[in-house]
Amino acid sequence: MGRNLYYTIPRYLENALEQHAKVESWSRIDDAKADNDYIYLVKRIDRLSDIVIHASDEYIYQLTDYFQKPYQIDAGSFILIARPEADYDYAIVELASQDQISIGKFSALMGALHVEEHWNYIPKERREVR
Amino acid sequence: MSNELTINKIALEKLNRFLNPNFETKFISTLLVAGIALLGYQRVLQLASSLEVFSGDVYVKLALSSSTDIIFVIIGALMVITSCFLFWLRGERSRESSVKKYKTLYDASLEIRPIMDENRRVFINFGPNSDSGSSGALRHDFEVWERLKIEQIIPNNEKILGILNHTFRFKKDELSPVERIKSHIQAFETHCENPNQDYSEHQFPLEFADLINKYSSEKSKALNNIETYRSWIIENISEVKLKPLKIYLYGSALYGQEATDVDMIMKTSATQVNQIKDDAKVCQLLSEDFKKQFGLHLHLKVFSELEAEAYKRYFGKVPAVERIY
Repeated sequence: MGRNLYYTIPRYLENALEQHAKVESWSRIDDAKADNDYIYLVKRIDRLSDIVIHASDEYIYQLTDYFQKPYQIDAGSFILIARPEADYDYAIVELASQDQISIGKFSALMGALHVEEHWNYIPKERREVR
Repeated sequence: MSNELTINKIALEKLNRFLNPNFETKFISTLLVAGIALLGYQRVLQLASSLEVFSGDVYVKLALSSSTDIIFVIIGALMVITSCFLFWLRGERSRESSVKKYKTLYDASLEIRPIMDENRRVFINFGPNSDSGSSGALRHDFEVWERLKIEQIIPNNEKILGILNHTFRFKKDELSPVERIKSHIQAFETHCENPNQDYSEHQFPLEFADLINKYSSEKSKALNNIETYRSWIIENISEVKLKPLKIYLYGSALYGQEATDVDMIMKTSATQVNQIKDDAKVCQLLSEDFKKQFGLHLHLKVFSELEAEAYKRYFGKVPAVERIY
């Protein structure tokens, strides 16, 4: 876990959050000195709850990574597989959903931002493999 | 006799530099200050000659005078000019020495290898024949590839070209692959500027990659810390009661180039989620201990039995590994 993301990736995400129809505001909540991650707090409109997003720099997100996730990530959070070439094991999805946590790639996040119980939302990237 | 004098001179110079590592700066600064002093001493004398001190009944008048000594002024000016020239010369030399030079391609291989690996990773994951975007969801993948060609591959290629241009000697059998990589780098850059430009005749020369991989593997054996990490891991996993099936080292640590982290892959036999969760906690402790010991982050990718498929996929994307357990 860390901030080993190409500089254009956080910029791309922040720009997308800026333009998203359901996002009222967003801010970085990771501590620049103490933490090693990109973590965002996203406030949404239409009485939708806030979402904490962890932009992971892993090439492949594993169960171990999930169990070592930053302390800010709890119920209602979203784990973003931020590298476009990265992947995640679908075994995590069910486990995370029990904790009311979502996991997915960029498009999954964009879709999840529209939904209150986003951990039950099935993004296109997972619909295709079913 | 003259040899002895030269050796004595060198020995004295070495001794001086050992005792006084900042000797050049001090010498030039002293020259500059002395020059300024010689140039300005007339002013000092004039100032001193005008001093009058009154203390109670005591009255002192300093009445120094000096005629202008043109020789001192010339010497002072020469000293200032010389010191300025020496400062400039030293700056030029340090700029030249900051460009690393290599005697042979074998010496340069350890610098080239991580850059090549990074390009390979980007190409495998984003390149035209990669499986990125296979889900069809990420339409920006193609844009990312186009962007990464310019922002990552071209700058990396320029680094490789820079290293090759600062390598003094090539063996006969190295000349052809080196020329071909240089042509490839130039053709690829032209192609990025103008996508209609065909560079199929200047594809990446695999024989250059083979050469660099061979040299860097040989050279890194002498320079890397694989054995240190191996013994530390073996000792510590038994302490924390972790029972991995296999552990591999990969990435920059293979070439002794690890600056911030050490990458490892661990395969475990865990089949239960609770077991994986316990292992995750232990691995976190292991990473913390590693950081304390080596000052480096241990980037440990753990694959349980439940993630066997992902393990195979990941292995396919890693350019080189060394089994350490």
